[in-house]
Amino acid sequence: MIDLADVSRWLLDPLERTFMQHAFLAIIMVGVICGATGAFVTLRGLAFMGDALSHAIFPGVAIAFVTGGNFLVGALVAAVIVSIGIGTISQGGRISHDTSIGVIFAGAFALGIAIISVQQSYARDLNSFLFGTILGVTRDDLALTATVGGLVLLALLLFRRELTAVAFDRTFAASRGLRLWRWDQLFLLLLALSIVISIQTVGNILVLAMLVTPPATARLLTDRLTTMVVLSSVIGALCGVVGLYLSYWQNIPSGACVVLVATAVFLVVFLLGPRAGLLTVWLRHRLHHGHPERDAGMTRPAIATSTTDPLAGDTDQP
Amino acid sequence: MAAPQPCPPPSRDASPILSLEGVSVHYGRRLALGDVTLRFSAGESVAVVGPNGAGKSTLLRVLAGMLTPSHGRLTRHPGRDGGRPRISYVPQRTGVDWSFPVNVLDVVLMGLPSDGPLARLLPFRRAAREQALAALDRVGMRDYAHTQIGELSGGQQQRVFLARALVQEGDVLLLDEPFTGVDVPTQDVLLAVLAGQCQTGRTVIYATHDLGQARQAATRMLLVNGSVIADGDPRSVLTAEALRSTFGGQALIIGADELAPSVTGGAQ
Repeated sequence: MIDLADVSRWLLDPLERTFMQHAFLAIIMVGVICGATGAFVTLRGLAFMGDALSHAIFPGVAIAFVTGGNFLVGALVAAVIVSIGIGTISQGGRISHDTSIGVIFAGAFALGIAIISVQQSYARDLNSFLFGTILGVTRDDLALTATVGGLVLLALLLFRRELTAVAFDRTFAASRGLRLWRWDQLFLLLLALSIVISIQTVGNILVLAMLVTPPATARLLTDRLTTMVVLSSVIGALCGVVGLYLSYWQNIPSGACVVLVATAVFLVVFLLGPRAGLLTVWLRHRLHHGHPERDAGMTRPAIATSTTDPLAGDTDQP
Repeated sequence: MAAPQPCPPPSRDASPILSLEGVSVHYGRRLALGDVTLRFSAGESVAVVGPNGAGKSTLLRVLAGMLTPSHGRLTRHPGRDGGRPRISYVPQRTGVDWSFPVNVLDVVLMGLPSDGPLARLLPFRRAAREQALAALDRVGMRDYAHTQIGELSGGQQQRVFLARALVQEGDVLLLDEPFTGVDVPTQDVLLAVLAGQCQTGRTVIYATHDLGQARQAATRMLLVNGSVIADGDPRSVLTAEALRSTFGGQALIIGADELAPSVTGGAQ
């Protein structure tokens, strides 16, 4: 028997502390923003680019840190230089996009480490950059996250059709007069902004999970892009909240908790999802083969031929 | 489906819609298309024929304004509404990821022009949806409007792409290999729609490597292999010499003696 008083203490206790209130607000915003941006990242196959950007903005943040400048500006300048650099190197044709991402991001990351190592507090700074300092989120940080995040979401809403057209069919988008290069750069900018405002919360290494795992989970649950973006944001925020509770009570770093929860949710949906879950499809097969008489009246074939399960519409499951 | 009426051959004084003057395209150092001078008129149905890598897609991309030629220039003459001609483009369907999370209607709606700053915040207007559904009706795909694109056959995919181009209501319809790998019903729909387009004064230009197809549907044929080898009505274009220089040793020519009227073989 679960004691209600225990549950409410588990849920409410952390909320009485200001730093936890800030942390919850921050992780919810990061979950929503990364979930929405991440949906386009996964559809365009840009996961590696997301990883690269998150590492490549390191020197920008490091320079800002050392010189006492604004870390957001430093990160953005670095992100723009890196994304243009990657595009330029891969344009010649001899070096693939993939390879040029690899070259640039490792180099930029190393530069960041070199810069930050001149500081006395090197180890602590590096650690906070890599894993985030969610418990140190201030009121100003929250305002900044809300402003930048709001702009990113507004841009995604305004330009969702163009971004979708460019992601789905580049040739057609170009024939319609959309300048592919500009739309690509706009998207990379939105991606860079999403990453920058997430770094304090989940850290540089784990931000990729916030960009990729919730959208991947959402894609397993729906075949509609709009639904996917909304679901991905909700999943991202929920995983953030649950992860933060776990981190508070189990004393595990918050970034790790959040990502572990998101990964667990993905695995559960992958195995048991109502539409295309691995076990769900297998069970459905078993049940169908076991009931030839009942299946005789069915018009749709009982064999799943693709990831979009043709049986998804059937409701006569026991 | 009734056999479509072929388009009438264009009259000599038909108004021009697109013209190319001395156009060459290079990819890096490789010459993809050399010194092309062509004029396309309203109401023409043009088949661009050539082997793989002949520059057919390149020619279409230049005409669509997507590719700036390294030499020469493209001139756009006024369209039917007196303004800059509108181009509809049907890319090769193998170029996209068909597991993308959209349905048939979503894809067709991508053909509509962008909304203004306020309207783009909202879902598509009812009129836009009706327009898309009407286009789907014309290609026999209305019943599939809410079907996930991953569940379509190759021919159905091609028809959805055609519907997306139809909602654009362009003056020029460019199609890259529309007949490749499609079923017979889709082929019939394509022929009927293309015929309907040029009968209403639109220009249809499509790439194909199927000579038989081109001879059946087009009023003008361009043989292309790096440059334009022959240009004219299908009967006069299909000479043994022109085919040999287009397809090289790959051409299998049946009935070479009476070639012009009876070419049936394609090239593989």
